[in-house]
Amino acid sequence: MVFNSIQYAVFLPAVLVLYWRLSHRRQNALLLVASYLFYSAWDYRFCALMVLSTVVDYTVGRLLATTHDERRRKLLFATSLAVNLAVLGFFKYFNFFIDSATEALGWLGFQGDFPTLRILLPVGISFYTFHGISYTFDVYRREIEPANDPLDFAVFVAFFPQLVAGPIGRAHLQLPQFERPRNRPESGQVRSAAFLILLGLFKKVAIADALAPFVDQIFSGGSTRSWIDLLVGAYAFAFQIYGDFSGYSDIARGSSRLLGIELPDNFAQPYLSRNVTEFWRTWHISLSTWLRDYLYVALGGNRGSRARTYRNLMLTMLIGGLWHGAAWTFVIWGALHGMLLVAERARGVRVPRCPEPPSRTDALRVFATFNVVCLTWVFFRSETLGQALSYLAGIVTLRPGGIDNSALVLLLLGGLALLTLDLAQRRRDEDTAPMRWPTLVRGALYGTFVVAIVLFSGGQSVPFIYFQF
Amino acid sequence: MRPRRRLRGVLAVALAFVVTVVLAEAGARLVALRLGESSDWNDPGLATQVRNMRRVGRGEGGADVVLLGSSAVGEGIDPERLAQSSQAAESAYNAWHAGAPASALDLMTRALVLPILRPRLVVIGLTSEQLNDNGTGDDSYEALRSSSGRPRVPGDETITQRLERRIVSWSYLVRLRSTLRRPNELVKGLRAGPDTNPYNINTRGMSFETLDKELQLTARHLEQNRQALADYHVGSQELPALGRLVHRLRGNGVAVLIVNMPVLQDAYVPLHPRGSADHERYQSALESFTRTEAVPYLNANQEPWGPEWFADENHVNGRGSARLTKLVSTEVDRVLNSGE
Repeated sequence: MVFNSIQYAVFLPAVLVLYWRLSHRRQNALLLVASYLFYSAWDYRFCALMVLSTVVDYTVGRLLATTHDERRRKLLFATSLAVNLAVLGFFKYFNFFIDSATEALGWLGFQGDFPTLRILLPVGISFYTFHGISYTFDVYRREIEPANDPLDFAVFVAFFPQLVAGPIGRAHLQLPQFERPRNRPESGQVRSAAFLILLGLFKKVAIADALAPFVDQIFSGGSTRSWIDLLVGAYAFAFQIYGDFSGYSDIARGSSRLLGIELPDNFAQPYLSRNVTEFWRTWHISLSTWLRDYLYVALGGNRGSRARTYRNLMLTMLIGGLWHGAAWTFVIWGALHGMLLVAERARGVRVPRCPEPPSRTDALRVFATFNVVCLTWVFFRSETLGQALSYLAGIVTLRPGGIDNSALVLLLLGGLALLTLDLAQRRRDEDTAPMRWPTLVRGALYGTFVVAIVLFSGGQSVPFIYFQF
Repeated sequence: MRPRRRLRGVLAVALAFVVTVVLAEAGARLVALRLGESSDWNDPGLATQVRNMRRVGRGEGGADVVLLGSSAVGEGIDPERLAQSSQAAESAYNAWHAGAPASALDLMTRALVLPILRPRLVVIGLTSEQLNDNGTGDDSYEALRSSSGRPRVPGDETITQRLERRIVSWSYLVRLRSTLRRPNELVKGLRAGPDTNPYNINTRGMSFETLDKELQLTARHLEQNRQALADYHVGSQELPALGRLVHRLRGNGVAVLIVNMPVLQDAYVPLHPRGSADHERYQSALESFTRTEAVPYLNANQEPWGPEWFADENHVNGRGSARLTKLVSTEVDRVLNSGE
């Protein structure tokens, strides 16, 4: 069941109607059942994996709280980490590592013939295993108390608005929300939630899905397309993935707000960034902060020498790249971002904690950062390294040929819409900023959203890009 | 006072919302006026076909032989030439639909071909693209399924699809959305005006796009075919749809002939992800199907077809069309005379 489907349009109101009639405990029970139903819509068999992850993390959390022997605590923590990473490793990376090992042996002149398996990737596995890991990590570091009630914890892991594509939950922010009784949202919260859902649908359907067929065509024909077509394809993918993923996050946050649960921000106008460091403060925030807190800091962060800090940054970005998928293209994408971050740190680039609206003098830096990010997206979107290199070669060598006018028009319209909304949000530091626009403008904006959603919906549904991760 | 001000605010938002939606709908209706019939069919080529088919249905009571398939059939088998050379068929019509997979051919047959043309024999011309379960044919099916002009056929839609068609019947914004979201197509349609005929389709449905062309392999066309053959798989969706089509035709007393359409092997076969292995899988699935269902089968690919017969990798040129039409015509006579 996807957010932009008729099924979800029936499912969410049905859950809400029941939910607000129940007591706190029963609300959590309903959320758990609803979340597993939501997940079963893809493949009910994979619910067992989520149950396994939940049981292991809950049990380890309880045991960690009652154990004071540090060696035993370490062992318990390692057990939880091993189970989560083993599930993730097997379903997501098994064939990738086997294929890579076979190729590496081939280069060394050995004939490796390892078996590969036909493994289906369970939807959302990268997200809920990261939920679980963050919980045991925090309990192990004694930063939070473990969950008392298995029901509260099970809902925290499986909460349907964020289950399949985040934002990646953090126990210290979310678990207390499930443990405490929740207040019915006020009218202002309901309006802002509705706005987020409408905005998310607009970004997903009218921008990401509108650009998707052109991006698919241009990337699959990368070796024959003209340089201008390839450039349009790269920019279009940048807006497609942003519209798709931030749209998903907006709908998730809006749906969750209607249930009285606040989810963390996942995007803060990333394409207005003045450098790559700022980009990573504003893009997929729940993943970048997760990687910072549980990987970068665990590796030593910036506490050691400069070289050690750079190594930690590179490792974090490489693993962050690999988190997105089992392919060398993602590793290269992570490596490129790692190198850019290292270069900026070496230059002493500093980023304010709260992103500020770019001034006119920042325009060139914003444009340059956007182009650098787009360049790395080519690796992210390509199926193989060869495809990515041939794509970039087509641009660099100014391969002659025509241009797909439809793609160009939709890119300009979609890009302009996203950047206008982003600028408005950045100026007020509020993702519901357009709700403060004059009434007539607001009405016209809502009308435009609905017209655009109607125009670009129907036909084949395009799955959310981050479902595959 | 405050609630009143709030109410005024809500009303102003609602008014601006409604005005925006109404303006968009009015704009879509203006576009529809200019596009004419093609706005009812999501595709100007299909609109031309339906116009012609209705003319043939009304004027001649239908056609003895109807040719079904994608553009390979549309540009490959000449219905007038077929009717002239055939002993058993007096008239023929080429009811091809661009990029149509077997499922779209089935829907087209139910909704248009059987009720309008009332044929004695239907020739289904296929290439491996039409049986690919993962190809780009869904767009062609969807364009036909969601078109407002298409008569409804029992059991062909889910509840949401039926609801969508109800909305399509009164909203031009919804009706025209597949055109409106492709600015390039929209501008072309607006420039061409109503009753445009983009594929040069004649009154018997034949397309004259490639007739006077010599072989030319273009990167873009090869890429289109590569996409139509992506993740090549036969058997779970389109082959069963072909089965339903054949059963439906026979259930209506219509004879069937299946033709494996000629392709330029050296250029076309490598476009499959696994090359000749995929193409052989298609051929053996088709042969096995025709054997099991006892459907008369003409494998036009068995004959040698060199580059001189083609305009591109899967469309014959004028010479190729004359040769193919002769082959099909002989087979049509055999089927009609044998009463299979």
